[in-house]
Order: sequence, then structure tokens, then C-alpha cells
Amino acid sequence: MAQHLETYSLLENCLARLNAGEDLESILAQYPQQAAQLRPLLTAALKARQSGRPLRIPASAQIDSRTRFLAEAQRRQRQPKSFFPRLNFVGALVTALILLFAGVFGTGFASADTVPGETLYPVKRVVEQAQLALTTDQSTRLDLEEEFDRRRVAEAEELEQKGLTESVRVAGPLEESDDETWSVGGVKLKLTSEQAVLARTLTGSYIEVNGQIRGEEGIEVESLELRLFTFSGTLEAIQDTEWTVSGVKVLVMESTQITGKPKVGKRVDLTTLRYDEDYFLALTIRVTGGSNGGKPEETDKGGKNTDDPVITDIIDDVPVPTIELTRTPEPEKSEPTHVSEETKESDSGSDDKGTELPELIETLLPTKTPD
Amino acid sequence: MAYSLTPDMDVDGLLARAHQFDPQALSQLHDQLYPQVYRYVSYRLDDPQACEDISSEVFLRLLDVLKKKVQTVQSARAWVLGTANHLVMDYYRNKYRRKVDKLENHDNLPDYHSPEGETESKLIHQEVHDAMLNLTDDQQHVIALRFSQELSLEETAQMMGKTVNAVKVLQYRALAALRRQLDRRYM
Repeated sequence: MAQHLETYSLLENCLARLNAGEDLESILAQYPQQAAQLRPLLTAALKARQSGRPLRIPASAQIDSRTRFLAEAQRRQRQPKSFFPRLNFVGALVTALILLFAGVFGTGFASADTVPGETLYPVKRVVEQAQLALTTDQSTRLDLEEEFDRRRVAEAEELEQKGLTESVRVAGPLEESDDETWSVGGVKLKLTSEQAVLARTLTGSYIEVNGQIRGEEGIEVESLELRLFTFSGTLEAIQDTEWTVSGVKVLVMESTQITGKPKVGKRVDLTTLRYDEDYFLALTIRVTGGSNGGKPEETDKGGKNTDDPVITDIIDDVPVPTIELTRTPEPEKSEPTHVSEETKESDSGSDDKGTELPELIETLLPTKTPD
Repeated sequence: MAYSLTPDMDVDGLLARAHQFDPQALSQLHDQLYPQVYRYVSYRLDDPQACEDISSEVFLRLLDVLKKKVQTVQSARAWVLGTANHLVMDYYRNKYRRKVDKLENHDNLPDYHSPEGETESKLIHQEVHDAMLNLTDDQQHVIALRFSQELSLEETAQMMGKTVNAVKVLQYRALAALRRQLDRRYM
């Protein structure tokens, strides 16, 4: 064995000397006893070395290989190396969504008792908006809107009690007490004389007030207008002046601006006022489309006439004058008041439901003229 | 040792940047190793297209292990030459299965440029290449490493993951086997 290893080492020694450029014969001459054994191996080694020597590396092959190598490296760097990172990503996304929802709803609950000026108050409002957006049932949605209005009033009451000053917007039925003070849902309103004139005409109406609450003094009113409820739905029934839109009962007056030909089954957009617990009063109705469900004769029974022109003379994109009228209180407030009284009298003769309308609503509707 | 490692290589910096897939570093690493890989593969194959394909494939596979297994240029070289050996063996196994007679097909030998002795070089390469086909994988590998790369005994041992003595024995037997094959064909 030792002898064998010696032979292997001898070969290696000779190979090294060959590599160094020494002549084969001079190497073998030094090992006369092993020469016969070494010669064939060393000549084979020389051939093996010659076989590899003169090779030239093709430059194009090297460039191609380098290009592929770099392109593949770039591709791998861009892409996830396995599906697991992707799964992790999906997992992280799901977790993030869960946390987000938990956060929103958790914070939503936490923010429920907040009032304007507190950190979480905006969250409360956003959650409410989301609730509204997610409610497809129109009747429920309107109920929600009013529920939120009641919350605004409750918040204002709290601010009033705490003696805080904050920007607020409240909506609700306008109430007048004996000593000529005005309130919405129990929250006092500080009105200028001009606003008081307008308020008098709106007593009992569902209104919207923007202003600054100043503790016990109540809300310093910046604007006072009728609260408008806008919604869309399917016209489900037309019974005289009483229409049903997606389960919501709507009163239609002569002065209601109707765009298009309303028929049962059609989609309609409405701008309404809160009339009473059960009814909304339609200011504008716009037919937006949908399938025909009813007969032409059924339409507009509660309008001026059963004639088509009533409907067809309405031009698209007519501005809703009632909104503008309610926004800015006119300097001459005595006039509308008088008009409203006249309107009330005239209404009593023409329509049962009309007599119950708050006076100014009648005067605010531009097409309404005393008979 | 004409093809051994260049000593001035920025070993650590190059590999660190290559691990980050820095294009400059990868390009440098590729160009350092490519001639050795190509030389090794072409030593064992006489199909230039296959030489290019296998050499290129070696580097694509290097990307798989670069971060995990390759910490020095020396280990990168050991890895690419070892992989080249495996790919060459795969190539022959597939060829054998397809029953292509590689022994008679010498039309497309690699491009040898030795103006005076081009024909002679081709003949020697052909002779050795054909003889080597009957050696074991390890015998082919050790001959290719020692005579295509002119690696030292120690380097070869490192490449093959064997002891120096084991390589001494292996190369002895490989040369003896090569001698027998050459004798059988041409003597």
C-alpha cells in the first residue's frame, strides 16, 4: 500500500515537472526503475494536456451567456422567489383588512359618544356616512338620515350643557315657544331679527341649521333652511296625490316639478321635504328610466290636470328654486309671511292635504299659485 | 498555472455585491468564471452548441445557490465546474438514450485556433475526447480538471471534495485508463 502511494506520488511529481515545461525523457531518465510504468501514463497526460490547450473561447458565446445570466438575475429579483412570499402577502393583506375593519368598527363604537371638537368625532361622522352608503333600502336610509339628525341635536344639547363653543349643524322640527324663542329638538337658536321672521314662517317644518353653539346661549345661527331629503327609487304606486317610491310615501302637489313621464315601475330621483311622520313632500321628481310597469292613464292624477303637457313642459336641468329660496333669508320678511297666509287660505279650498302644509313651504314653491 | 484564480480579485466585495444581484458584480463574476467553464465543457464535449448551452446553463443555476452556498470566488469556481461536470454527464446520458452516434460525428468540433497545427490539435482533441468517453465520470472529471484547467493537485482535490491522496490515486487510474483507451484506438 505504501509502495502504491509512493507510485501515485511519483506520478504526481512527474506531472508537476511536465507542467513546469520539463522534457518527458529527462524526467523518465531520473526514474529508470519506474520509467516503463510511468511512460505510458505521462504520454497520455501530455495528450490530455494538448487536447485542451489551443481552445479559444468564442466571445459571442460568452456575451450571450452573460446576457442571459444578468437577465435571469433581474427577473428573479423582480419576482417573488416562491409562492410563499405571495401567500404571506395575501395573509398580510387579510390581516390588514381585518385590523382595518376591527379598527373602523371598534373606533366607530368608541366614537359613538363623541361630540364635535373631540378627536374621534370625525370618525363617527365617517361611520355614519358609510352606514348611509351601505343602506340600499330607501325607507331605511331616510330613517337613518333622521336618526343621525337626532344625534346631531343630542350632541348640540350636550355641548350646550357643557358650555362649549363649537361649529354645529343640526336638523329637526323647528319649534317656537311662547316667549318667541326658537329651538330645534330642544336646542335653543339665537336668531337675528331677519332670521326670526323666516323662522316664524317655518315653524313646525323640518329645518336645518348651521352655526356656532355657545354654551347655554344656544346656537348662533348662520344659516337656516328647509332640510331637503334626496333619494332615488322605483315608483311603485300612484294613488291620487300619494305616490309610493321604494316603500317611501311621497306627497305630490301641483307645484311639484316633474321631469319625464312617471309610470309605475320607473326609476325616479326625488328632492323632498319631511312633511310629517308618514309622508315626504316632493319638490322635484325626475324620471331616470326603468321598465314600464303601469299604464299612462295612471300617471299624475294628483297634478293640475290629467293632460300630458303638465309633464312634458318640464325642461331638463331646471334648477330647483326651492333650495335657493330656503338658503338665503330675504330682507323683506313680512311679505312672504303675508303670502303664506294667503296661500294657506287658498289651499284650504283646493286640497285637504294642502291645508296641513306649513305655510312657507307653499310660498317657497315657485309654481304654486293661489287658485 | 495559466487558468488559476487571479490573485488581485476583490473576492469579498465582489461576492457580497453579487449576492445582492448587483449587475456589475454578476457580470464580473460571470466573466471571471466563464472561460474556465467553457474550457472544461468543451474539453469533454465535441458539440460546440451543446458547449455553449451547458456553459450558459451552469450560470443560470449558479443564481439558485449564489446566496446560500457561494461565499468566495474559489467556491463559486468549484461549484460551477462541479455543475458543469454533472450537466456533461446528463448530456451523455440523454444522448445515449437517444442513440445518437456521437463517436462518428466529428464535423462540429469546437473552434480551435492554432494556425500551424490546427488539424493536429483537432485530431488530438478528437482522440482524447473519444478515449475519455469510456472512463468513469470521476476519471473524466479529474482529467478535465487537471488538463483543461491545469489546476494543481490541491485545487483539484478542493474542486472534487476529495483528499489530495485520493486525487493522486484517482488521476493515476484515470491516466492509466486513458492510456488503455488511446492504445486500443490508435496503436
